Amino acid sequence: MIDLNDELLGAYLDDELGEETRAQVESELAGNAGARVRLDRLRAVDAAVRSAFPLQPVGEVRALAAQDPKVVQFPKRGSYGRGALLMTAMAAGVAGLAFGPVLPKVWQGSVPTVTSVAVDGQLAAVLDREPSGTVIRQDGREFRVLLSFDAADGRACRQYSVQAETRGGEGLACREAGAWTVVAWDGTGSTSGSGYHTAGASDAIDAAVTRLGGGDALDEATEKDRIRKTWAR
Amino acid sequence: MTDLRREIVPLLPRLQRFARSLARVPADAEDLFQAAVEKALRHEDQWQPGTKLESWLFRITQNLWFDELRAHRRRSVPLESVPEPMADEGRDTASEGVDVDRIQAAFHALPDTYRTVFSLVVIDGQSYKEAAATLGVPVGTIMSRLARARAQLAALVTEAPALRKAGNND
Repeated sequence: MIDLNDELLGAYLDDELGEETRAQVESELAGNAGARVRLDRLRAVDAAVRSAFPLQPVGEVRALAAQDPKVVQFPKRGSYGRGALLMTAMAAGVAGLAFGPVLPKVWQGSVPTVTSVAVDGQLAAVLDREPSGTVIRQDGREFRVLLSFDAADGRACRQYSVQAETRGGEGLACREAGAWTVVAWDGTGSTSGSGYHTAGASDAIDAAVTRLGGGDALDEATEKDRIRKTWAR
Repeated sequence: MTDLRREIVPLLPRLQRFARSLARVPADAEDLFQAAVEKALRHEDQWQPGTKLESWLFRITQNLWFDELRAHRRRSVPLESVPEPMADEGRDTASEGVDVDRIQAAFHALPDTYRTVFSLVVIDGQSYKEAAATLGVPVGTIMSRLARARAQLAALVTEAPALRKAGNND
């Protein structure tokens, strides 16, 4: 018989038990209603606290901005709340740095001002040449273009995902003056293993697509034509 | 951009959340987060590539917070200040009706050492071994602090809707 105290129940919840001990705990739990109630209560506490501390987009990081002129200058503290797209774009600036050199650029559109970043060479090549659904593995990163569409202002945009060993996420890039610019990025989703975002899995990206007035996704033939005649030229 | 600066960027949301879990007041949490990044960059030479960067960053953050506690004699929120569950109307809720204010208040009522361990393991998802390495304590200490933290939280927030629902499932 095993003593199902809080330490052991906690280790069970945290998946920190060896196979044998785990089996013993489960066997004991099967015949111990009180312990099951306690386990559920502890599990509920964990879930409640986790939900009270979600990951949030990060605004300006003064130390990074001060020491590297290439870092996108984010709005000062207190400027949160100017819309989902702006917050998404701030996240894009931060997370985008992990995927290659970026060039700060401010785009003024009909939607609130957003800070956008140029894509790095590898991502640009993928966006220029690869049809939706293709997976490209290069230098420890996996790129996947999810879909293409035309924004209301006429720019072509492509939704994509990038997965590196320990990080990844889903982005939205639009083509302007012959170059792709990341206009939204959500790096808060699953980044483990094969944890790709599926298209539409990110509320932040969905909000950005909506603000851009995105129409239907381009069909396969139209997309192929764009790649051949415009993007890859 | 150096390797360290590049590696820090994707960890920032987790580091900021850790700061929020340590400091109850949002402005204090933001200051703590900014100070931790600044210190990490200032002491860049102390981080060895190949070692776990997040452990180093979380340790810096925790040490800064404990320094702050010592300097200003701040303490956890008193237990009696944890608000009672709000009436259904107007409750500040997250998913599934969890009363976020009450949960956060209960969490900040934990002793700082319990809160730190809970944050690393339960909120950030670190293993006991990783949390032990970050905090420089044995794994057994992680287990005992976690158990006490969970027991205290369960007692404080049992009346929250989501927990009440969970308890009624049996």
